[in-house]
Amino acid sequence: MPNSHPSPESVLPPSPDDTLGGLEWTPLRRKRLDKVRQALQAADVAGLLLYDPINIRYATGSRNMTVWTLHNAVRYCFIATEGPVILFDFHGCGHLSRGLGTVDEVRPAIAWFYFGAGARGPEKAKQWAAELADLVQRYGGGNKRLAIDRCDPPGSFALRDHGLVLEEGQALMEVLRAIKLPEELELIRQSMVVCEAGMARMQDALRPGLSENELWSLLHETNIAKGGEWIETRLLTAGSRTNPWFQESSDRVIRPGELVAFDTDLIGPFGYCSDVSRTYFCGPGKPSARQKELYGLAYEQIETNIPLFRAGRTAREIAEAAWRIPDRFLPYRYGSLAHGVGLCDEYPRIAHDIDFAASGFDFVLEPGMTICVESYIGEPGDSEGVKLEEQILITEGEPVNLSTYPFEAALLPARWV
Amino acid sequence: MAPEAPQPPFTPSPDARRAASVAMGRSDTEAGLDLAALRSERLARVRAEVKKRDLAGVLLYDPINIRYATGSRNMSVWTLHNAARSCFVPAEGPVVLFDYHNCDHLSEGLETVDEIRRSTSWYFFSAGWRVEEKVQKWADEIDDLLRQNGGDNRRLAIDKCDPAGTWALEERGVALSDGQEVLEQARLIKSDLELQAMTHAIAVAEIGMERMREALRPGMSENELWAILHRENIARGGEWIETRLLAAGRRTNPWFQECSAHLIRPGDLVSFDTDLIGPFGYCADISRTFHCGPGKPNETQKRLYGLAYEQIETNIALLRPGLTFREISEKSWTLPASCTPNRYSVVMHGVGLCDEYPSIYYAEDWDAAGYDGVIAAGMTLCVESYVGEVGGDEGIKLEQQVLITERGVERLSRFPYEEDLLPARWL
Repeated sequence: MPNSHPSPESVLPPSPDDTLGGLEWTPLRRKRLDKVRQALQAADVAGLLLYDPINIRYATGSRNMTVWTLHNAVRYCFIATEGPVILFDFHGCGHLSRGLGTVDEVRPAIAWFYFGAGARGPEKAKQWAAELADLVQRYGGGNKRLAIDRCDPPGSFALRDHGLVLEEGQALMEVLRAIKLPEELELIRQSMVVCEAGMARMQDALRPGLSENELWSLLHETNIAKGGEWIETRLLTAGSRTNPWFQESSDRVIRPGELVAFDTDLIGPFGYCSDVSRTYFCGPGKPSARQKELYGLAYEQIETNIPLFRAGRTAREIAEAAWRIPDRFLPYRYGSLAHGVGLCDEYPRIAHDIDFAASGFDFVLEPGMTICVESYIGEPGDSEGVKLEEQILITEGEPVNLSTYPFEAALLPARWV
Repeated sequence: MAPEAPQPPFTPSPDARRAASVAMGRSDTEAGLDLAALRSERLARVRAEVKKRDLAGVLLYDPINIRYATGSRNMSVWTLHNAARSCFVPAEGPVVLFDYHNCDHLSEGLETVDEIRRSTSWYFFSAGWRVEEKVQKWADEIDDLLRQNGGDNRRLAIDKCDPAGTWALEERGVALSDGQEVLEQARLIKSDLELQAMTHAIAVAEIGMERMREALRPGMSENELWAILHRENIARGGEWIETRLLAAGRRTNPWFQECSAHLIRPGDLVSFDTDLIGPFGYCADISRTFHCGPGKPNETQKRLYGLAYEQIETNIALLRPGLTFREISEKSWTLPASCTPNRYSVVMHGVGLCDEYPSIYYAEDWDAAGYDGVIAAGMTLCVESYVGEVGGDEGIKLEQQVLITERGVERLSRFPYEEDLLPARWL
């Protein structure tokens, strides 16, 4: 590698105090990598090829232009089941992964997607596949099975031409990511601190005349300023734009008396996701009875469902025992009852009872899973809706709330206060 | 009186473009940006490329391609890694958008979308243990669509598709080709409406850059400075930022170190690359290097800045329609040998809804990665420079976004260079 000088003051540790025990990064990175290796052994594959930057982050702790590499296949990581971790990185980026304790070798990536390779794509895909097939041969001991998380058709065909059998790498990674290490829980809490700081800034700033975008920009600013990474969506709306859900933050100006609903979908510091939803009321004035009714129902859904999440319960049991969404709110129900969360939204997902046959799948909750419990309450044809979401940790006993941001006392019907 | 001569088609000047962009939709007394026309001309370009290749259609998963083809948007960054929505654009016939649960209302009123269906999702987070069942159902749906639209034509381009989907379509006798190539070619030449939208995105990026420049003080962290660009982008309707390429002091060399809690010190250079997806989804990809006061830049800083400036300006001056990518690579400014190992990845690259085709590589990288093509009017390019010596303390990142015109080149990014950092001969 050309050019390396240490950057002694480069990045603060999570606890910027030399008199306190901070988190030790190298052991955390190695523990995550160990989990990957164990899963590879169990899956009886020669190795794993990762393209998803979120998987690469988990397996190695290495990061490079994450959002850009979600759609530009310029870096990938080969993890031999028995053998080295080889990171293939973008041009001139070897210095980014030095000293991580997880990456044995950095090689230049071969890009075969159209922006990178133009008409030479097929030639580059062949060259890429040959290098990977060589690694599988060297470290696979005759095993031709390669797990892969993401791969577009030219790459799939090129690997198959070498006699490799492609196995599902995304499932392998998401299942092992589902159970969090104690250190990961600490990082999730740090991410949540930043997320909640941004939520508080939005709540402090909320005034009539602000646009949805202006309000939403405060969460972005806080996240980045405090070391966070990106925000997955733009789900903040006001007034009639809160119903139906999934309308995106816009230039729409917020008016007095409106609900403002949002879903953070925030990838915070250390790459961990804080996925919380809240609904605020924009004063001056007091919430209407209708607004309180909607909020109360969403609150009831969340608070009824959270205690169901205990180790040993199955997704189907939870779906069957969950709060019954009143018929008038069923058409606009949220897409899932709950879903996993870690470095992003991830496995598992729990479908509503009504959707279970079409799109649900079963699994058993385990201690160490982190789950987002969802609610959207909005009626077709009505003017507003309420979005709430809590992030929890599964234990043998009561689930632990990871999000501590309060609900809105002014919006809760009297029976909940 | 002689009859009036026919009017030539109206081509707004760059300044008129900017004026139009400021007025965009904000006044009922000016035309503003005709978004329906923007969407329909982009869809027409996609269909033309589909026809040119004798494809039955193209299936799009990349949210940036879906945006280009239809104008429809839904959780763009999330759908970059969750295959929750897709869009089928046939050579002729209805455009079908497959959207996420309960999201039809997002694309209502878009004249580019003929039908909205619920997406059959088979990515693992959504389908869990039912991936195989879901992928078969999905492939049957795509197969049906092809038969309805393409008849005997089984040729389908697809931009992004993981192996399970690839094999399922192959089993049904679908001949797959690269949809990314189809869309990159459609997106290559920008229309005037696109340039208005892009100019607006650049204006937003430049506001953010100016806010960062004003705020820059010793003791701020790189992250705190970078947060300002995010805030201004989102507050003004922008969408996201692709990277976190802002670094100060020694972290500017080598390049590609990411924005961190590192504190900026007096006399540091601060280099950044916006990589900003702004309003209307258009990209403003501009790089600058600032000097953090108090104090004046030192001679090394000015020398490096002068080199980066010379590289950018020399390479912009080369640009004209008809030039090949290889000619650019060969004729482009030669970095001093001390800076060559740390050179940027490309001499220049395309830009539109994000970084896009083409990549024009350095002569040093040509054999390994270079590919040829021809510069044409209507292409928008980002001309790049990174100048940092091997073992040196700091590095300079500069980048300008330009439009190729019939006459040569027009600058889209207008943010000034730093006079304090330019050596006297450039002033």
